[in-house]
Amino acid sequence: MNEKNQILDAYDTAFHAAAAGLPGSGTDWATSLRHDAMAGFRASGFPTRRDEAWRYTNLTPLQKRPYLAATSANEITGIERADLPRRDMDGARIVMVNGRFDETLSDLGPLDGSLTFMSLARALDEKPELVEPYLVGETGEDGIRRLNTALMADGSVIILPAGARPELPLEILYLNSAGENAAAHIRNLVVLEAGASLDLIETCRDTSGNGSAFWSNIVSTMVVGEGASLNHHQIQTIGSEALLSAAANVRVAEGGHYSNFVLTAGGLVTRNEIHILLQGRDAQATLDGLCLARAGQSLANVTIVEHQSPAASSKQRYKSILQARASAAFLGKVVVARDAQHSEAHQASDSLLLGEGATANAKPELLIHADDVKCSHGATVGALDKAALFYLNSRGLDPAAAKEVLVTAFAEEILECISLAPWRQIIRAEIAGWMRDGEKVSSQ
Amino acid sequence: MAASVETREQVRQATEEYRFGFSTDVESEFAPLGLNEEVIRFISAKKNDPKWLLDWRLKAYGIWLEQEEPTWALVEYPEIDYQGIYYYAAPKSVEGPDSLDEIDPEILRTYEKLGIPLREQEVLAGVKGAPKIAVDAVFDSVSVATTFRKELESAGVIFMPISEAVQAHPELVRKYLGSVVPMRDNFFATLNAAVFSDGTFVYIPKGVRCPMELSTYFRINAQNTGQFERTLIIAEEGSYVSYLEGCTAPMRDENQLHAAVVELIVMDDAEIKYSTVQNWYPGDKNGKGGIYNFVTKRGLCQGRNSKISWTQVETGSAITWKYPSCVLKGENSVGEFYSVAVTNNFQQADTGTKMIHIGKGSRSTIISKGISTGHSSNSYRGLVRVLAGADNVRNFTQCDSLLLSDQCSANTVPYIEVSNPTAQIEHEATTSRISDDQLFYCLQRGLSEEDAVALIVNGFCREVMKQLPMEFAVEAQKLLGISLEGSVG
Amino acid sequence: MSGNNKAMLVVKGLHARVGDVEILKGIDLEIGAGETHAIMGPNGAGKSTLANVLCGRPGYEITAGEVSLNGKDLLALAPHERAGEGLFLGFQYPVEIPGVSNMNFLRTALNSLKKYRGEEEMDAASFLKMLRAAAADLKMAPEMLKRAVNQDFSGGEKKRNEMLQMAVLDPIMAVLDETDSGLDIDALKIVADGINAFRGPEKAVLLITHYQRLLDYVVPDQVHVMIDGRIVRSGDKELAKELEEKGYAEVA
Repeated sequence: MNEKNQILDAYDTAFHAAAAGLPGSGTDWATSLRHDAMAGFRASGFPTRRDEAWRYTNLTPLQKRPYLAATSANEITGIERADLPRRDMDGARIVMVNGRFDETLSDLGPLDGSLTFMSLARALDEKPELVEPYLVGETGEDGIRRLNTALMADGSVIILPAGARPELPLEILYLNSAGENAAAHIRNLVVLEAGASLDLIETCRDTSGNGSAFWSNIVSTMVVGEGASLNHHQIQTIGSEALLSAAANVRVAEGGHYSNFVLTAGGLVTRNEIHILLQGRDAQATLDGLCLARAGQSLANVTIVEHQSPAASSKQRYKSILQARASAAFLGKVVVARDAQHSEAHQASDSLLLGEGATANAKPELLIHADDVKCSHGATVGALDKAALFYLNSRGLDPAAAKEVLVTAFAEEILECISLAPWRQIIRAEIAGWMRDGEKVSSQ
Repeated sequence: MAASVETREQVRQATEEYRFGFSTDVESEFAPLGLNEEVIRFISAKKNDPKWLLDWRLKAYGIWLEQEEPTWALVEYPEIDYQGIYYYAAPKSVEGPDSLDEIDPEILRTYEKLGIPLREQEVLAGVKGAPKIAVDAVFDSVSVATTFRKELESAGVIFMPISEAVQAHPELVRKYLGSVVPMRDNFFATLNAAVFSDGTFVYIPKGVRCPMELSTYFRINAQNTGQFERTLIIAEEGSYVSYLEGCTAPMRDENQLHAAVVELIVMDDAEIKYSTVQNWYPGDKNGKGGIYNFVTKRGLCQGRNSKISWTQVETGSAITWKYPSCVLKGENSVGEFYSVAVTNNFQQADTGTKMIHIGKGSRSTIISKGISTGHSSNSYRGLVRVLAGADNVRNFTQCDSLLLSDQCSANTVPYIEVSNPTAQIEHEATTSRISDDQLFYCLQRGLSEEDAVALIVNGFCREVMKQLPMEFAVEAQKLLGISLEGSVG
Repeated sequence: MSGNNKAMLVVKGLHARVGDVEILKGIDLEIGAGETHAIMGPNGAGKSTLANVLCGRPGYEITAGEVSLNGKDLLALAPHERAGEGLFLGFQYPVEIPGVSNMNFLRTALNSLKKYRGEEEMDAASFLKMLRAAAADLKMAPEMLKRAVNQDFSGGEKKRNEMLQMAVLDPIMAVLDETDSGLDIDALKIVADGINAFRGPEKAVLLITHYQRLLDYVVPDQVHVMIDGRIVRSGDKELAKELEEKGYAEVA
């Protein structure tokens, strides 16, 4: 109890020390939003495993010590352009280092002319009215989001006007290089007006090479207008001691489509949460995810899809591959409101356990309050099919090769749905790399 | 489609009529209103408890005072006034009747009206040529009659009210009471441990296949009274028993609390088949009255190849909060859960199961069918957990929900927690209404909409209904308001 | 040929639509007792709509016209009442009903029809005897009777099951919607035998089909060509052959 209070006090102290220097400090609503959020955080603390939505999230690291924001430039060890991960796709790249926009590392040249990009820090200081409608009152529904609201230092504001459909994808790259127990609180705002369309890529990587215990806390608000289409692709390969909590609140209007593919393959703890409100007829959500978990890692995908309007549809498919002593979870909730007739909602989660001590948890939940609906979920947990392994062995593949073929096949099913072809190749390469590393680890 | 509104109405009515809503006028003896140590001592004295049992009750009461009522279920109800309930009510005439002649004729008539045979030459109402069924009849807080005891005794089977077993077989009761559902398990189970007044005790010795079905009929009669029974069934190595329970209550405007505990223990190669047709008074069509059915049922598959099969047809109660579970400790043990839950009007059900796999090679099957109509809410909640040491576990779960009105809710909340890589777990769930195509196909063949809906609903539940012993299937199908299926096939 | 026999099914000026789209644009048809008629036409001509409208399937709006069976106004009746009057629809896509055995389904249906007609219900033993005989005639394995209605049946089994239902429920007027589609030649012969066995002086059959193939085995008294919601030509069985050779465009 005491330890818990000490930790909360540390955040509180750090917040009050930093508040005057945080972006938007000259604007009343922003200041009071931060203070309200901090007071809320102080009262609630971090979520615990007793909170249903956090049941399968390992919160121990956050409960043991404070992760204080990387606040000044001197904590940032220099990252050179040459250190950036290779680009395999065309398009603009926004780079956030330790939670702050880095213009020199970013590559904004290819930004589509129709698209407005501004860092959140600049927006809060210079154009608060741009972000005000999306932030006021949104202190956050849990302690982690409240802390984000109180401490958000930067992020991306991306606005697409009606009908704009940039051809090239836009990437946001998050890099961390600050020291132990540092944190970045990032807030993004992505707005697609009617008929707009965007491929948005978010990449979280660790470039420090020292595998430091860095906490990235990213909260995004995404608004998909009528008939608009947001394809959101995420890769998360942070270091083995790092923590990542990513939460997206998404609203989809009539005929709009939000799709998300997330590859989660890093971190001591990684938690993705997507909360979608389907607010218009024929609004659609397609969510796919692949978790690759190694020993000691705890990865979770959490989704809430609320069908608030008739004839909306959602489809979710999550897969996890777990090495020995790894842990992965899927918590998915579909809510169909009383009058949301003709809703269609499907949810699937499959886990493949490759070693002793692996734990797969799933809670696929359907809460249905309308009758003319088609809803289903399925969940499986199991090992590789012994008969299939034997079949491949009998055809001359050694056990390791046979295993690789089957594991790849398991993952491949979910890659089929990725519309962006180069992206699919990147994901394939990640999986192959992960499998090779996994073999190394297991043969050690 | 206007016609289907009509159909819904008909189905609603079919399940709405409550045939068992009468009350019986008997003189009863009550414990003082409310709950405190004195009340527990009163109940204990009535039951002539040995000291260890009184101490056990008092300990439970102490724990209960510290516990909080669970709030995680998808049910809503006004706060229960635990001091506004009578924890013990017994018809005055029945203290230790030696034969049926000593039972108040009003009570005999009650069971007659319910169709439950208390005379050994009788069989269940409406079932011709049915095999013998031994009955323990629990009326409010006491057992009023137990049939076929002599015949069962000669087979070595003990079948008696638990209050009697405490006196006659204290070593067995003391050994197993609270061994599967610990005293502090949950708020309602702890309350039960403090105040339980009767229930059924069954012991099947090694190698014995119980020569007849055993059953208990629970009847709540008195006003403002809770029923807190406890059932304990022990199946020794290589034995088998099929046990049935039925529940009814009068129509009363107030909500009545039923907080029971059932514990099953199954040894090597033994099997318990436990079937329930739960038809407590569900409240009226505006949601007034009805039983709060907060029940903890759990079985321990202790032995190798042991098996527990739970089958439940839940049509009654204003609120059902119930998760018959299996702790699959024995190697190659088997747990099954088959459930049909129907909710209508303002009924709320949050029911399902837990399958805890500890033993290697243990297997479980869960089939749950929820049917909701009116303004009701029907939730499946289940847990399948595989512990790290449990190799080669299998589970298959199928949860289907059928919605018959646009004002009801159907929820599915499964938890799957697997910590062993050799497990094979499959879970499927669907939620839908009756398809227009199915309905039209039946109509074109001449069925009225009402019959068509009944037929389709019946088909939807069939996998579960076929698990019931025939005597119970009859009652259960009547309860579903559906004409008997399968008399030809 | 029509008019020789007492008229059973009479359709006059039938118009029907789905939403804003008119599909039947004035159908006139008369089928006499003992007669078998075939309606042929390209996809989208409205053939299945006609079958569905005759049997009262929801989702269609009748905007004009009359339909009677032995003088009884069918349009005023609910679908199960039309079945009670002796109208049977063989479905193009027979529906699966999980958990309900074929046997139980048929007995429930038969007794519903008997109840509608004020007849006495059939006892279990006689029903079973009759059902087994009917299944044997259609070369259906007895265990098919115990399986859930159409569930996990192959396409051919489903169509054969429709014939079994027709035999057991014994309607007077059978409308068979593409009962021949998706059948191999052996299954087609069995289905054709079923239809031929059903035919009789007090019965009438309306075959809806895309291909002439079925008509080699079930020889119709009249053939109608339906295009775009209207019957554009009628003739004897030779018309079907002509259609097969020349195609709809030329014949119409």
